[in-house]
Amino acid sequence: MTEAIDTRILDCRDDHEAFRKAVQTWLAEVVPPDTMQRMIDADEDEGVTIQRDWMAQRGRVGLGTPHWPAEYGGADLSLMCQVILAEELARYEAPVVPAFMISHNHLPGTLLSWGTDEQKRRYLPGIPRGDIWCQGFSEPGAGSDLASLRTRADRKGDRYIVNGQKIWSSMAAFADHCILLARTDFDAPKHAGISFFLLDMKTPGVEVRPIRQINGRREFSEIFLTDVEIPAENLVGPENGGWKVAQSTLASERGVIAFEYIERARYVVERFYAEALKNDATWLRDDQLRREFIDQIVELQANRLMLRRLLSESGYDHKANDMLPSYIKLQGATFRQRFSSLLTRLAGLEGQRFAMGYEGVYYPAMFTFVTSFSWTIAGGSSEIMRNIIAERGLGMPRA
Amino acid sequence: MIDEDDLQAFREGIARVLEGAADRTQLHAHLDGELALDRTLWEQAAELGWLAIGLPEEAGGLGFGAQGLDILHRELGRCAAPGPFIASLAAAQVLAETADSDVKDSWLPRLASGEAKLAVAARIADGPAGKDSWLLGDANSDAALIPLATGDWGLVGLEGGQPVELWDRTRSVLTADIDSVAPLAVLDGEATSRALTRHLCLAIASDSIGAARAITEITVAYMKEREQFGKPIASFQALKHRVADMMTMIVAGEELVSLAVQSADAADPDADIWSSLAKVRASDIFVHVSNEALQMHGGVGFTWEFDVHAFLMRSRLNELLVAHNHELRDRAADGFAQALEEGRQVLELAL
Ligand SMILES: Cc1cc2nc3c(=O)[nH]c(=O)nc-3n(C[C@H](O)[C@H](O)[C@H](O)COP(=O)(O)OP(=O)(O)OC[C@H]3O[C@@H](n4cnc5c(N)ncnc54)[C@H](O)[C@@H]3O)c2cc1C
Repeated sequence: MTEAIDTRILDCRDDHEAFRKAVQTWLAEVVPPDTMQRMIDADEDEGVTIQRDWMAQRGRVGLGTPHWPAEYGGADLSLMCQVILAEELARYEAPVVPAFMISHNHLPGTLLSWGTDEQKRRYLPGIPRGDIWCQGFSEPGAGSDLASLRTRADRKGDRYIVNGQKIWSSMAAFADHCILLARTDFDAPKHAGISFFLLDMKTPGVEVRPIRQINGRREFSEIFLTDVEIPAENLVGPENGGWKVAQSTLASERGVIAFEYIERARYVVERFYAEALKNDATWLRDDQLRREFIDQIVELQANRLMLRRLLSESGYDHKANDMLPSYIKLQGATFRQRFSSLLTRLAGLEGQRFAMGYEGVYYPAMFTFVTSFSWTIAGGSSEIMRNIIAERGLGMPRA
Repeated sequence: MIDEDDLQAFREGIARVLEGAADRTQLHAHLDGELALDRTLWEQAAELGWLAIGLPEEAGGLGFGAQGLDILHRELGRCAAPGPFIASLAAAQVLAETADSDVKDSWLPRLASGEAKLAVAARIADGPAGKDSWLLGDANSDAALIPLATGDWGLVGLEGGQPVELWDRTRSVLTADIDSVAPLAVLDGEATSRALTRHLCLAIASDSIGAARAITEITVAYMKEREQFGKPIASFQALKHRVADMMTMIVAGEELVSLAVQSADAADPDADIWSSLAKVRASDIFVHVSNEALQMHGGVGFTWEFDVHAFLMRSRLNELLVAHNHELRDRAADGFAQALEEGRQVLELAL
């Protein structure tokens, strides 16, 4: 069914320098120089096609889902090699793959800890072949307070009947499957009545309505669920135990993606400054603007250094550093917002001409600025991060 | 390659000694003029070999370089420790890097043992030292490292130095009429000015970030105890969020200081950029965090009795030493421009 994998890169995995060289050689061949521009010019469908093609390209050298166990089509790649790969993907400006965020991380993160053998065998192999998953957690009435969700799932024999509404679900319009949270016990305390399901998006009663975003793209959607039948075997973990399962879902992104994204920002900063110097940009002669730019370089480096600490295999003491992901999220989101805000000012009036961009590409300035709010809102808002740091990290009591 | 375990042991040793030798009661006794903690601490540091930590082994040092000094200054910053550590230890590193061998031979062993102390120009951006220029360091320093009218730098004697009464009582600054004195030694101007800027920036950055973390911890502990409206003030979200921002800055700042230290030890061509920016960011954080700490203490923060003021005043001095932070940002901007022009991957970080 699949063509043979070219293992020349994976064969170097025990020698980090050789592995890096092999990745570089491959990327130089397969990433055309206009890749970022192609993503910017793509509409939503074309964007997904570029991402699928790119994942297929990665699959041919065994780098589709290299961080997974070999048993499920991964390469068991060490954390260090994953980090090197991410560094080089950023350096060579390979396509970004936000459409596969849930497929590559949240789904395996959940199934590998909680899934039955049958669930793992059934769903994981589809991912290297390009299956897209979305996450149906948030609801109109349940955002930061996710545990207050009200979509209901009622058990009827060997199936659950689901009714309710999900919102802000990224890539739902393109998704084959959805990881879904629904309430199975309305009498229990709010955390204790939630269950975790795997939903086939083609099931009758599932209706997806894309929502136009602030940046002009339609990447997230509402999902309406009307008498949707989910087979009982698609329950993950125990009935009413979904909150705990969702915790492993949300913790499954171990930082490699955040690392790749911030590495991409580095090249944008570097190139932006080099261009400004070459063109003798007027802002360089404005002391205040130049100093603000320098301050943003400092914040960029700080985020990259914190991620390096998080990902260093030898130095990472998980217990001592268990708050580090929250610091990284808060500081990184703030950096993105301030830096893109500065770029917007530096772009001047011309920068106010509408120009489409692509998530993770970091230009044009105004697109990047408005998109930066996804970092301060999604995946635990900056305010929620501050609560976590103060309460869990510093032991400050709840009100 | 310095052994991580050695460094860790060194850090723990310093922290343990300071816990007993420079606690809050002793600090306040010093602030009130009842105890010369700057002197007793210096003597203890000399005895324990701390003053030799950064110097190369051939100069009687322990060879821990900037990394060792970083540990020492962070711990000293944590207790707002009085004493001329920043000035004298930075000057010693500069001599080890840039002085002729006879100057090294006559000064380094005495500096490593604590027998001699040096003062330094408190600002480096100002050009040749004149009458009334500020020198950072102990009033009884054996000499001061300053820029001369010739463009060189020199070690000059300090007869008749006049102590300046500072808001920050944990530090000492003096003025001396220097231009009439013949230098005891002459050093290359360019190399010395660069090296001293780098070592002072690193020391101030380490001191600032250590102090910022300590005053934040002190403040959080106070907030858990202090009750208003029937609950600890630590439970108020308006305050929690400010504290979370303080800690986030500190955690990020610690990484930047470590980056600067590592690039100095590696003699990285861009080390001066990172040491400048580490000083800028760490001292800015220290000022911000001290302001917030005072506010969150309420009325007691306004008193002499509580600890906050010692940190607040130290932060304002740290911010202004060596060069203004905006001057250092400008230097870094030029440094980046030059590195890019020369094709260096200035933002590359090791894994
Ligand atoms: C681009 C994007 C993509 C997303 N993708 C997905 C997805 O794929 N799947 C999915 O399930 N969800 C997704 N989300 C939803 C996201 O998880 C929620 O937006 C987020 O949890 C915040 O919830 P909310 O929007 O209801 O805001 P609210 O929770 O209503 O928050 C409004 C404001 O109140 C603040 N606030 C709330 N509670 C507190 C508190 N306790 N203390 C202090 N301040 C507080 C918030 O910080 C915010 O500023 C996405 C969101 C965005 C923006």
